[in-house]
Amino acid sequence: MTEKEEQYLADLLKKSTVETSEDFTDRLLVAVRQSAAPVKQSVSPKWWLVSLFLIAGGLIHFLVFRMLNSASSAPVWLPQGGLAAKVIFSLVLLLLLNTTLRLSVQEWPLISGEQRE
Amino acid sequence: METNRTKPDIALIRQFVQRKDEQAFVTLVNRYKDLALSVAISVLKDKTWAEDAVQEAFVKVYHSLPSLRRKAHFKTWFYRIVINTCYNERKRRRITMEYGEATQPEATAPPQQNKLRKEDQKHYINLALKQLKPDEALVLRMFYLLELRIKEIERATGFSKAKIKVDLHRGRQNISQTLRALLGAEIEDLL
Repeated sequence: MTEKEEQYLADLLKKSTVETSEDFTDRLLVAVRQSAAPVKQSVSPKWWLVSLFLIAGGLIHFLVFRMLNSASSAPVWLPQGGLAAKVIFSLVLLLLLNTTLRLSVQEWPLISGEQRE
Repeated sequence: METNRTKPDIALIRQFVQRKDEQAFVTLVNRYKDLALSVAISVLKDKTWAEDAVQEAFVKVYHSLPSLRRKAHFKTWFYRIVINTCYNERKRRRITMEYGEATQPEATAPPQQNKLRKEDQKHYINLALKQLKPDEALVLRMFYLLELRIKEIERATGFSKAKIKVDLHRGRQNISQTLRALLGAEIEDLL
């Protein structure tokens, strides 16, 4: 490619702008405003019940573990470490339970606050 | 009084960040939207998808502009966002690229008149760019259309200096060949 051809090509490439559609800026501003609006948290009252149940369940769980562990008949799968280990173990259990319930509740419109048709 | 249209980028950015002046942001959008779309089309090869990507990029810019430390580097920072958004969009849509050996230039009748009109030139150059590999088209547009220096292209794309130079060289060769294939004898009007 000669220098002249290269210059021509460069001039030509300067014309390769692609124009946006006419309403692009308007659509963009709508998108920007929507993204700036605070996200509404649609937690239904029934979710509070489920959460409360889980917290209470977790606490009971933890207390039962403590009791079991204090007795010599504690099951082998219980953590044998100190209090921190038991707390972490209970939290993991709680988290697992919570996730499982959340997943199942999503498939359960009445609990998640939606109305059946 | 200086209007927004004549103000430099840095003044508009300060106006937007410090005074929350949306009009300053709109001026930036109007200044960069077509160039951003040209860059996006190089990667995505489809105008609708490219417009979506550019819109998403501008939304990101709107939210991240206040945290941009080196406001003077706005241009390369902005193009980097556009390019990354396009790459994500391409991954998301799993676009099968239409370029290279498998693709022959679209059969379009060469213009009849002796001199190609300005719109024709634009049409054919964009058609030829569409046939190029995304990286080549991207680098060509960034170098010639956006008039960025190699170092700025490096920053905006994340490509190495060597790759940019190779893509520029190959892009020039390939676009010239494609234009010849598209226009035949009429190429003399272009090159």
